[in-house]
Amino acid sequence: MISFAIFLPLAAGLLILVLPARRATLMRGVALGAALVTLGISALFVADAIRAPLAGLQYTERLDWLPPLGSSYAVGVDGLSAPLMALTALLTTLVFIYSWRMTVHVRAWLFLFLVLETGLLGVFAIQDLLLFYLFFEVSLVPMYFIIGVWGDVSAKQAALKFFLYTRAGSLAMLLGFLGLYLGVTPHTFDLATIVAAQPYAKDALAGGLILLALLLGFGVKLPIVPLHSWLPAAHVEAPTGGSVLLAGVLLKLGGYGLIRIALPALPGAFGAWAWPIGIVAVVSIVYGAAVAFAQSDLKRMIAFTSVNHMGYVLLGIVAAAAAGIASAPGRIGLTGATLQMVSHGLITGGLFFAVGMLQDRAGIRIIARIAGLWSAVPAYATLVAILFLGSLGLPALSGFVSEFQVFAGALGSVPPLAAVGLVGVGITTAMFLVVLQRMFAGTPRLPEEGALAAGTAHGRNLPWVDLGPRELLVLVPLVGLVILIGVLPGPLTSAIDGAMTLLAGSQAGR
Amino acid sequence: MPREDILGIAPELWLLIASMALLVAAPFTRGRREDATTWGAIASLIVALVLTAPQFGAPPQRIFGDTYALDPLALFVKLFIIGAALLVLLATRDRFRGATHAVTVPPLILMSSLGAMALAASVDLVLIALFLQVTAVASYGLVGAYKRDPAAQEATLKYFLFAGATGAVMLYGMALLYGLTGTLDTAAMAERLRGADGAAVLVAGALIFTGFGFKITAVPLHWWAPDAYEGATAPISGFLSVVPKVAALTVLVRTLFTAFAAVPEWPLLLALAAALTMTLGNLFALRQRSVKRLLGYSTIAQAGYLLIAVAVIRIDALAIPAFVFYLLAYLAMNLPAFLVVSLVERATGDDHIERFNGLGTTSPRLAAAMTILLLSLAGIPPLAGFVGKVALFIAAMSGGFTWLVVIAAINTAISIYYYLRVIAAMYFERPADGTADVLPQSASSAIGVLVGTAATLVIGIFPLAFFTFSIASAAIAAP
Repeated sequence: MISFAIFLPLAAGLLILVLPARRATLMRGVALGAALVTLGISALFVADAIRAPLAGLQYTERLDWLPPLGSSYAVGVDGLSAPLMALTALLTTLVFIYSWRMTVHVRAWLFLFLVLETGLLGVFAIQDLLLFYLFFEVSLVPMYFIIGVWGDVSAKQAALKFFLYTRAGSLAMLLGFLGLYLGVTPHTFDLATIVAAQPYAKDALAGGLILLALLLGFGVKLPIVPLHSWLPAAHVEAPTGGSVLLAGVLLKLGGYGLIRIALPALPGAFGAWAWPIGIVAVVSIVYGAAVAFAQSDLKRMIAFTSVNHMGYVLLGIVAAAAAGIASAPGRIGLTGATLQMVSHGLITGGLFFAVGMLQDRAGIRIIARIAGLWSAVPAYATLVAILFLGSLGLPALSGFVSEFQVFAGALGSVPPLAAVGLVGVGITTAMFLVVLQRMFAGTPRLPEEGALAAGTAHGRNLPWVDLGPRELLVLVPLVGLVILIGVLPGPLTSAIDGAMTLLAGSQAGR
Repeated sequence: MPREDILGIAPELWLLIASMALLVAAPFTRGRREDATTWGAIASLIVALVLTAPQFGAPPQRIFGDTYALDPLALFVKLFIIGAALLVLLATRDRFRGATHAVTVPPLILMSSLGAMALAASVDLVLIALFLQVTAVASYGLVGAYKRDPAAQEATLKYFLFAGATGAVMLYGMALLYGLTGTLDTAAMAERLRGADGAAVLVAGALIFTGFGFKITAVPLHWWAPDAYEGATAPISGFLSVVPKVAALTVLVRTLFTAFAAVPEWPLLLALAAALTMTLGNLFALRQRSVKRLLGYSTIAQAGYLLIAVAVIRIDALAIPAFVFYLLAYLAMNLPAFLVVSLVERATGDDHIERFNGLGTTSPRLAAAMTILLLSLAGIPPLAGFVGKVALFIAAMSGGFTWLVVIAAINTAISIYYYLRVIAAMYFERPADGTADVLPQSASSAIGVLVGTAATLVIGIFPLAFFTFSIASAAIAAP
């Protein structure tokens, strides 16, 4: 079942490669169909995790991959991976809907997104470090091409920067994995075995170095300051679909890896270094918020809010590292961090779609040159406003629930850091309110003629046409989920909390 | 001389006869029948392949008075070289079409392959020196095969002079070793070296390594290689980057494993050589404009990765399997990359990186293959080079060389930059006006590219069978 979900997109992608070039609509249909089936299956995984939070890994499969090196294809889903898999499938589906009329290299576009989906789903399901690394890197190559081929003017450099940063980070991570592998006898990449053995519990130096290697790898992806400088370039230059998956899912690989691997395998080292790592988290929170506030380009601003939001994820993890995964603040921090990843994926994914829609109409995305969206395009403005409010953490929206939990955990575990982190919340709130006021209120202001011409890529000449059915189909599910999780956080939270409980119990050696 | 001994070298003997016969026949096949030597060489290689059959599963042994090894490692190298020579012959066939010396290229490839196969099996110093020369002499002819191209002539001269010098130094080292031990048998040497003067042994070892290192393109003996690879025609560059290099690496493994088994310093020295070789290879590759030259430096870096395994062959049991596995991956990804360059070179006149602009649009299948090959060379999963690197890293780390693995990881991170330059040219740049598909219908080079790309994918995604084979091929005949 899991393998089917993981490899269906890849199979669809290979099918698309052999379809005749003139059957573009059929290709789109195949891609969308595969994405929808995958979405259905991963929704089922989420439902299962909600129904039985403490059941542990479900739908497990195990096949030999490379037994001489102690690596096997072992997959399973629990309350931690299921929501992220569903997020991946949902955003991929929406990208296909959003880009339905895209005509530039359609075949390659669909193929790359399908390969990307397989890679990302694999990362969230795999329980073997070597194959985790494999899927982790598989997601790198399609995104490189997506940014470079379909991106903006300086996309080539952005794609290169993205690749170089991530590659350097992931090689550090590979060294960390090899360290964990060699720490267990007989050597194995099996995650559960490594976590149960707690290989470096007594060796603080080696444990610290391996943790550093893992932090470099996951930190580049997350990203944390100062490893973030690839992010603005890549997010801004990428085409809308690329930005959505980049921000919506790729960043989560970092947080997921820390929760799934680094924290359970090296709790001692993580605990010992919790404060310095926590300071990095808080710096990311405040710095990301402050730099976002200073941006004049809406897309760039949203890109930087990711640095801020992922800082919350790291802060939640640090809370668990400092107080212990099993402790009350630890668990609530981890649950908050995971929920924050889901919530950020929905909100920021939606916001990047929104920026794309704005650019399709107006041809620009400079905050100061757009006004009066509320009266010009009411449906668009309403949906985007909800996403903005979700991003700043308004109660009854998903961002509030997750940020509240992160700070609750952090207050119970590392109170000074929580206090400083709240500054970031203050800054983002002010920022979003200012942007809302500038862009949404007032009388509609049209961008200049020249900019307008550039914005007709999708065949529209009138900038202020409200959302079409296809665009509504993209934004409404995201906004709906943001509200649903905000109003009814219980089921998802308990599913994630169940996974965290089991995570805490998995370290038999402690 | 026992009959079994003759049977044991049947593939080599047969290739010797075949290459001589083809060389004699070559002048009569000019013009319309110029493909005859190619098909003759291909047929000879297939016969040689059949002749290796009795060696499968046979216990490791040494024949001809303990001078020549018949063991799984030697068998592996034989298969490796036959495979490489077949791919290169398919490519030289259409690459040299109409050239004056087209007909002599296949016999020279056979002869060089024969020398390399025998070199990888030699356990006697005299045989090692002899077969190193056989390989080299045939290679000179190959590098200079385009007689009117001054770059090729310059490359040949550099190659020849440097090979001669390092060969002489190696002979001196061998003489020194003979003086110290009184034997030419590398296995018998091990015991006698135990009591010998440590400094003299190290000097002898270093001098011999000069000869091997030249072929392996180990830094600082590498500098001939980029010139030779750039000057030679692309399939020949590919051949040089695979066949002599792998034979020399294997004989190095053999010698270190047996003769120098008791010398404690060599793992560290080899590790240093590995670190230097990969770092310099990668750094020099960063700015190259000629793709052959870029790949030339890349092969130097790849040799550096392979030396990682060589450094720990006596320390970690995984080292030789990892070495063999990486060789498999290297054959699958490196040689076909040169064949892609060959196709572009023939279509556009040179191998400048701009010639790759827009290849993703004009020749989508070729560009896709090249992308896979380059990503594998960079160690990106799920491709052959990735599993190969992981195995090398594990062997070295559990052998206590974590610092070397860290350097190798940094190198791997650097190397993606220059591989991506080629990929970015193919996909992010516009093709020059009027560029057509560089992959014409009849290009037999394309077969090599296809086979290599498929192998790169299969080895990377389903590595188990290949790894099991590598473990089985890791046995070395001991006395």
